[in-house]
Amino acid sequence: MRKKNRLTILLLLLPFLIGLCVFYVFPYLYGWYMSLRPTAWVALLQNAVFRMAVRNTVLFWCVGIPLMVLLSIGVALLLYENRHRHFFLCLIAVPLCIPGIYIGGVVSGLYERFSINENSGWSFVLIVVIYIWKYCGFDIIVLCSAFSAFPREIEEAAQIDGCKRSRFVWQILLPSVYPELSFVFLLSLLNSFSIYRELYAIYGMYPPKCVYLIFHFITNNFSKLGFDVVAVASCMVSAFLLIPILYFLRRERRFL
Amino acid sequence: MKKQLPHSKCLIFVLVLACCFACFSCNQTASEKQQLPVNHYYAQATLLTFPDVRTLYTTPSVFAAAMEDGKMHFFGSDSQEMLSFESGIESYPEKTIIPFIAAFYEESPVRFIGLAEQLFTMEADPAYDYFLIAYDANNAKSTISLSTEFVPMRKCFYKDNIVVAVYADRADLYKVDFTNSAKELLSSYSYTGNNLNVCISEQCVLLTHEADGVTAVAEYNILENTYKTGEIPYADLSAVACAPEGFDSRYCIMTQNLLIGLDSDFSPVEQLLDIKSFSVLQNVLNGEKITDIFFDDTAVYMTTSGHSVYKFEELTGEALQLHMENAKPRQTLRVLMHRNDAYVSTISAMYPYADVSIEVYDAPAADFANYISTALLSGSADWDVISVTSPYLPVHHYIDEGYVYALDEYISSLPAEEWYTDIFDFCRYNSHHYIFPVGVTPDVLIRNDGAEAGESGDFAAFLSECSRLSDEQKVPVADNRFHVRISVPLKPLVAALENNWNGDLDLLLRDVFSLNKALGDDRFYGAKGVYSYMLSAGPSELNQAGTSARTTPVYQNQGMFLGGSAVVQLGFAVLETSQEKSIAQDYLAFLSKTMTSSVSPYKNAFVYENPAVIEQLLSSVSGTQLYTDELASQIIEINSKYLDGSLTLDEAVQSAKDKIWLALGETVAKK
Repeated sequence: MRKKNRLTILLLLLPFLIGLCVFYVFPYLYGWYMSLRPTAWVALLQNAVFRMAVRNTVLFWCVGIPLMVLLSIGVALLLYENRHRHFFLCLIAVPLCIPGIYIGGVVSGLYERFSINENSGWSFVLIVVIYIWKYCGFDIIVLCSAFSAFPREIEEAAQIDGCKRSRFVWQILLPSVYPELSFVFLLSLLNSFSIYRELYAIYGMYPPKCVYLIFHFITNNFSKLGFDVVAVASCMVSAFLLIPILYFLRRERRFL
Repeated sequence: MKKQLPHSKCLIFVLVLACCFACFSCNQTASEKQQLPVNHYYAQATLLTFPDVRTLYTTPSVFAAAMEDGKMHFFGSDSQEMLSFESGIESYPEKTIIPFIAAFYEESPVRFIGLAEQLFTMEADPAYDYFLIAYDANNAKSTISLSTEFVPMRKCFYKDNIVVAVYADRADLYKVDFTNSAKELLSSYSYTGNNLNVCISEQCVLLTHEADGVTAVAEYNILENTYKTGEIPYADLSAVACAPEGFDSRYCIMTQNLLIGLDSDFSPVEQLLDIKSFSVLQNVLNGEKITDIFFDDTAVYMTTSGHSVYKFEELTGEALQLHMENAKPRQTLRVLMHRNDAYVSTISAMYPYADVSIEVYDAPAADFANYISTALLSGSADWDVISVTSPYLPVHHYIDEGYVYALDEYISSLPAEEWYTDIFDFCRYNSHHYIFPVGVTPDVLIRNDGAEAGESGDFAAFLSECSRLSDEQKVPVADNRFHVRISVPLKPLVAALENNWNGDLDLLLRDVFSLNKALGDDRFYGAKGVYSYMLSAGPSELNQAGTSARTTPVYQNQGMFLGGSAVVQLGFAVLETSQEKSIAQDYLAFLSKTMTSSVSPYKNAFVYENPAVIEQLLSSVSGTQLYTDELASQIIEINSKYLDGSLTLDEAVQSAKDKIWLALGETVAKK
């Protein structure tokens, strides 16, 4: 009977698995196959624009993701006990529904209105702000629900024992929602790829140097039909992404 | 149990039956042939069937058809080739091509003639404009406006420059001259009744129409401008033709079943053919009404109401084979172009030798590039021709990856006297022709008086000269046919940067932007006939871009043209996967010849004020730039921002330098 259930589940999953293999797994593996040329890796690593793109992307991750996670935690802590939290959460989620092209249009208008030089460092600050503003809503919702699900008895027991609020948050609440936190972190990482849409809407193919990210490099080379370059660069990015993903998965097992 | 014959016996039985049947058939055909009278005709073949035909016109060598799609097609019976034309005249305000409703062919000289009809509203009533459009053997077009009517034309007949336009109550007889696009109304014949048929001979026009169970006949003598009328006792007359040589009769008329000769007094002289007695013919015709007949020395051609053409050959005593041939399918050329280039579509509709199917990509240029790249990569690019002068389009990458077909053979076959071959030469990439320049804008010269006097390097003086000139002449640049253009010397710049040249890029960009601003400023006016040109200098001269700019009133001093450059504003490429490469190249040559700003010397005179100057410019081009280079697009974008004041000069220069660095640097060299 159990074997039959498994078979049913497998059959139900089959369309999804086929789609996954055809549209994700196979292209991904083919990308690795295309990149199996050491000279291509060397050429790419020697490319100054690529190195700059990697540098900018890593800087963007290092600044943007921690800021967003911290902000999400802060807002979620403020909201999870609030009676009107559902209203605020809806409000916070609104930017997720705004298409990138509108954001690009507004920002371009601001550039022209205030005669801001694109090449100034403000461009970097601007994209970090846009990134946080647009994507932190989802993180806040996830964390808010995680905090809300935290047992109230434990919180009350900590208060009775004289535990301060800050200590409760850092030593009890946050460690106990570690799986959700790691999920939020990975979500923020993946959302950082989506910022390319807004960047493209604002600056086009060639943004100011300081906000030229790895996504520009990959997309522009794709439009120039440099598929081997795209394959190598994509493999590098995916390999880099695997590190935090595996780390969080491993850490998460300890808490489960 | 059922008894079964052995297989071998079955086979023998079938073979014997087949042999008997074959012998019987042969004997029967031979005996029938011997019984036929000599002056009868025998059905040999159904030559063509035309679907969706409005009118058919038959000659021994060419069958002309006006189709429901508004085009006219000509099928050569010997060559088995199909030629097709659209009127090329755009209706107003619908902006659609006016369709042909009848087609004719003239053999000497060769002319493909179509009658085009445009429906429009005149004084709140529907009205019709009729044009005769003729293409000669060299594809030169001649248009004659025939008439404007409130009732539609019923039929039209043409032969030897005589046109008979049949309306509900009259027939107008015109003499036309396609060489001078002129027409002369010879006569207007009023009639009552139905079914007016016309036969045009060298001197006369025979008009027949039914009235009260008989057929009224009128013969118009073209030379004498007189009519002779009569009546023949046959009704249901469906076609009239001039009788072939060797017959006593002058005309042949076709009733439902009989082909009858008429003498000059319109009396029946002989019964040429009893069609009903031929069982084969009956089978072929299948009861269709014959609408048109035509004789030559050996055969009679008949067009039926079912839009088929039958050829009947005189009996020769030999076995005649019944066969059917179909027209070759007309080629379709699939063209992809960006919305900015869509103005070409009207001209494309005039291309006579193929159906040009144009896909216009209605989105920003950057998306257009992605669209093409993705299609090429996925193998779904089924276009024959793509426009390659859209910004951001990585044309050279397409060429490098082998997606673009080399046009060397075709371009080298173009007659040098008809084309500015210099432009082709300078459009080469990797020593091959991949891009067919269709629209080319030549850059022109500004003479810097200061530079002439040896004060080279005085850029401020040059700008001052520009301002002085504008104040004196007061002719806005924008109203001139040639816009003042400052060319970024792109090719040498790219080449230099790729070779790690890092000279005075800063100075170059400064000069380019400053000069552009000076020329684009409201206070500056280019003199009428004064054009500008910034020399495309090599790497060693990049920093002298400002000083090498010159101004000159070209009308006064044409000798100043020592060489120039041109920008390919509109260019196309043929894809390697195209199945119609030959026709695609011919189409591009057609576009180029027809377009303004063309690389062909023809048909430009009406656009420019002084064609001689343009010819001189084009023939002295020493360098051609593809307008669509990604880098150029970026620089132009920054230049626009600088011009509208959103960037200072320093910022513009820095931004341009950054983008140049990114655009060039992100291409990873293949090892």
